[in-house]
Amino acid sequence: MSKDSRSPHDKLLQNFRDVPLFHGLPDDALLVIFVASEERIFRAGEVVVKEGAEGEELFLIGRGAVDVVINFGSTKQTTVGKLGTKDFFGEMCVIEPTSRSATVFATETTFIYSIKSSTLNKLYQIWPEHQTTIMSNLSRGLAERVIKGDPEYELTAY
Amino acid sequence: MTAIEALKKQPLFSWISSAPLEYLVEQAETRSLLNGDILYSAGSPGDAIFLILEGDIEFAHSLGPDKILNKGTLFGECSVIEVKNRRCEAKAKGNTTLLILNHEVLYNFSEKFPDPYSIVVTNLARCLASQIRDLNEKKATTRVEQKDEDNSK
Repeated sequence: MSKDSRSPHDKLLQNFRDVPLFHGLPDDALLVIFVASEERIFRAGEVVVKEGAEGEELFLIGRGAVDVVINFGSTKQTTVGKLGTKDFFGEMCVIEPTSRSATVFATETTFIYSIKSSTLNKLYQIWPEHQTTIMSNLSRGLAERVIKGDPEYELTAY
Repeated sequence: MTAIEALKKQPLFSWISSAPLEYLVEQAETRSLLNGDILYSAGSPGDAIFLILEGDIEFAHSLGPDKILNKGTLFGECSVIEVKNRRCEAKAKGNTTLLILNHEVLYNFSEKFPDPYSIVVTNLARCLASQIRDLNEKKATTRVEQKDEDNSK
């Protein structure tokens, strides 16, 4: 068996390098985000964010799966999305202050990194050019989701 | 309405000051098409933003009835972040004039005005996130109506 010669630091950073939202960011920027992020574990059924709550964090799924639902816990409950490893959610808060538009809960044991919008704002102060990179990556991911929900959008989006 | 006034009305260009917008309009191509003229074909690279200054643009596709965009509408906005091949043909419906911001213009804009360009990309993310919210709400409403209909049977 070949031994993984990468340092623990490098292995941890790799989790962030592989996330499409952070593609194109150099390691020093990833390190700032990684150090400021908080890793949390959610068991199946546990709520990560609640619809209507104020939000100031973006969430990255390190490993696991979540459901995105509207009207959680009521007879009107509707699943509007399913996300998995390396997907992100709660993205609106990094664009503008807003309340959560849906409830997200883990459907299996899930490792989630929460990243405060203030962390990204600090990053942009040091490296303004990274704002464009992150926003481009964010838009790419969002465009895919819009097209999935409304295939006609792709006809005029490009 | 002038091209710059039409551009200012677009959510994609919200919060952008006059100087960068004037630069964009100066660099942009203005193209006039006659009824039925083809703007682009299916499969061509989607590498430009279009703003309809006059007339309509028709998109023929297999997903449903032809889609028509009218005067004052902007399309091709995702070309700011990536170039994908276009899914269908676009042609003029009636005499039509467009403002075209091609890849080169957008690239030069990003180099000359990095901060306004970053705002444009952020505006795109904001528009897309808003569309996702609308789609989710629509999906939830449809499901509830469907459940109500099923319950009443």
